[in-house]
Amino acid sequence: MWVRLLPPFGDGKTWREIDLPPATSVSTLVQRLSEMYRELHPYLRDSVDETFHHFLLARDDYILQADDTVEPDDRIVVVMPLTGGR
Amino acid sequence: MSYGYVGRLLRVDLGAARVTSEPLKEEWARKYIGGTGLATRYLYEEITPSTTPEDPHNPLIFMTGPLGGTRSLTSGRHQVVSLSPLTGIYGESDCGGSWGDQLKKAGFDGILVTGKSARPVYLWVKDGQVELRDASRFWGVDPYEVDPRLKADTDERAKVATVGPAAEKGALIAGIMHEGPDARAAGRCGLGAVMASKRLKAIVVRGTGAVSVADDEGLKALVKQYAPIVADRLKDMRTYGSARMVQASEQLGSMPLQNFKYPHRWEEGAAKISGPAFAERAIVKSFFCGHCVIGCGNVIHIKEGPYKTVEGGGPEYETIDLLGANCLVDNLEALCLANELCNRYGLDTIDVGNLVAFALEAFEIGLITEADTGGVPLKWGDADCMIELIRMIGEGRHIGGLLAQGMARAAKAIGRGADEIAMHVKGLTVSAHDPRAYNGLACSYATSNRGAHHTSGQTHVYEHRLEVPEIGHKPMGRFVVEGKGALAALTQHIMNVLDSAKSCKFAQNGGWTIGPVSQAFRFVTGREDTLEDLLHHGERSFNLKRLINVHRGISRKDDTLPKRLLTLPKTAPGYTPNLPPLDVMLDEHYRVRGWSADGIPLPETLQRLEIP
Repeated sequence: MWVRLLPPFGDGKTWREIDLPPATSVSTLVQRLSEMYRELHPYLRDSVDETFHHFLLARDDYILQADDTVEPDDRIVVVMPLTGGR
Repeated sequence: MSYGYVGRLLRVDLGAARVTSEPLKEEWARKYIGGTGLATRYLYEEITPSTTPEDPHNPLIFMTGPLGGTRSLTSGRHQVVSLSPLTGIYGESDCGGSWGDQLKKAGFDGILVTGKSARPVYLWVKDGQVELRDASRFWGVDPYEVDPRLKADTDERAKVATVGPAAEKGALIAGIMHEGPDARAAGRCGLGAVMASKRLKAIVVRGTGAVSVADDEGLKALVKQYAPIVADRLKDMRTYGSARMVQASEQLGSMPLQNFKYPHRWEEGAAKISGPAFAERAIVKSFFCGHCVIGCGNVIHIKEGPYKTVEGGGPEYETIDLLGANCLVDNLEALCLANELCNRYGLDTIDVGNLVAFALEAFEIGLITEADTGGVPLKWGDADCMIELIRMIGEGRHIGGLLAQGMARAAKAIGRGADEIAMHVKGLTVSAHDPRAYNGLACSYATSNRGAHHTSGQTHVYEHRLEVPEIGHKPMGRFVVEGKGALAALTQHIMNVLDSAKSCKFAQNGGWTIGPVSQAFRFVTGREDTLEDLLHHGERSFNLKRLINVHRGISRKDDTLPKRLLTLPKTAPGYTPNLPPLDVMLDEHYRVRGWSADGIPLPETLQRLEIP
């Protein structure tokens, strides 16, 4: 799997490979990301749902939910949430 | 009168130069809550089906809600309601800041303005005292400059709502600007044009009173419980403003790009105008509306260069995406100046962003030429061109004079198929959330009583990721169709409650949703309305607005979207090529609402909702 972090979490350009088995849970993915990227630590909360108030994981234009799984050939973008517009 | 209301309405007849205070109608406050609902009830009473927006009798109503002036979270807002000269139908705009708070503390729940003054005037309201004053020397002065002058004329701690020069020149896309350079806007529906047509330059308020709360200890405990949660969940909005959504919008395919026709991704452009870019190069501090713990307003300052600005309210997400992405402009500093210009002219940035993009495309395909633009060639992605078009609109020069009349009129005047590239619903331009990325939002835009505005339903937030356990709502996915007509109706009712009680819609994302807001309502008012009761009131408000529109010829034929958004799928890599199946959703929406297949509320529906 490949992951890219948009600002302010990362530079927005660099894809980094993560070795994860098929059907990995989103909570495991979040755990791995937190081990790889210290930049995400201030945004982590007790649950994945709560963490998703601070960043989202997008697979193309689909936003991963806490009970989703991810696959080895997925490309995931970490992005700040969308909250509805003003 | 129950707690939470001051119990007084200020009635201003500018034709007679007469100001009177009257009791707020308690029965209406019970059924319509306050804010948008209560203002709509007053509007309905004041007009007849033949009243036009241009009629001096068309009232301009500023209304607070029962939560305003209390410690309830995010309650400093107020609503402005009138018939819209831009759309010819019901018009409203929700405004942040603290002006509403001040009005209640000054002793009034709302102000209803009718008539037309013989000369420019402003209204000065202070602690129950009201005065109409000559505003001749302030006419033509922009909102940033007139704010300190009006304060010097009244009270340095006062809050000012004013029109800008564009409204005074007859621009129909003019809003009502609040609080000077802090720039809180009642932007939508051309309500500034109504205010200027009455020769009312400003309403200045200052209040030192208090609003009685039935159970302040209960309210205090509720706020104490929720404030830290909301503040944490939305803490990045303090740092990045609503611009934090820019890149998510691009990622999800909901970003408006090149007048909603761009066939590619725009990741690099989005990065250049994203929240982190604003934080690094423009934002100097955050701005909090009354009783807010989020602070999504950002104060920006571009200190040098061709796009230099004063220190003031920065561009919000809608502004950034519509003047930026929708025009393919990725120059952050230019967007800051563009935003300041709109604020100074007193223009709605959503309309302006759409109109600039419309003009760029009209030029591209030869519908307008340099003869229309004063010799300025229009080019996508050209920041200076975008800024010059704003100046033309604000000053009514060249093509700007026509654009200032709004999208529907501009497209009609240009003709030759210009309506094919005009992005509006019922005359109101489309917000910066592409409905091809959200089926529920598509239905919500189409059926919104004021036209295509995202906060009329916020349906996209509910279908995308917001869970609201107290109403059993779980997001069902953006491209699902079944249930979206019903969801649009439900969210429209919720927004009517929030805009009536007056509570910020952003706060929902932090957990301050309809459940806690209904609790706050009970603590404040002492009334026993349940959440279901409040939703019923919200449904009543929505239907009354629809009835006002039905009286003006609105029906199913008007509940639609621009052709492009129904026929041109987004095909860029990573985007779902969805087209909203509007007819299917409308059928469901009307059925749930108790409307005819043509979109008219049935007699039994009006009876059930006790609508006169």
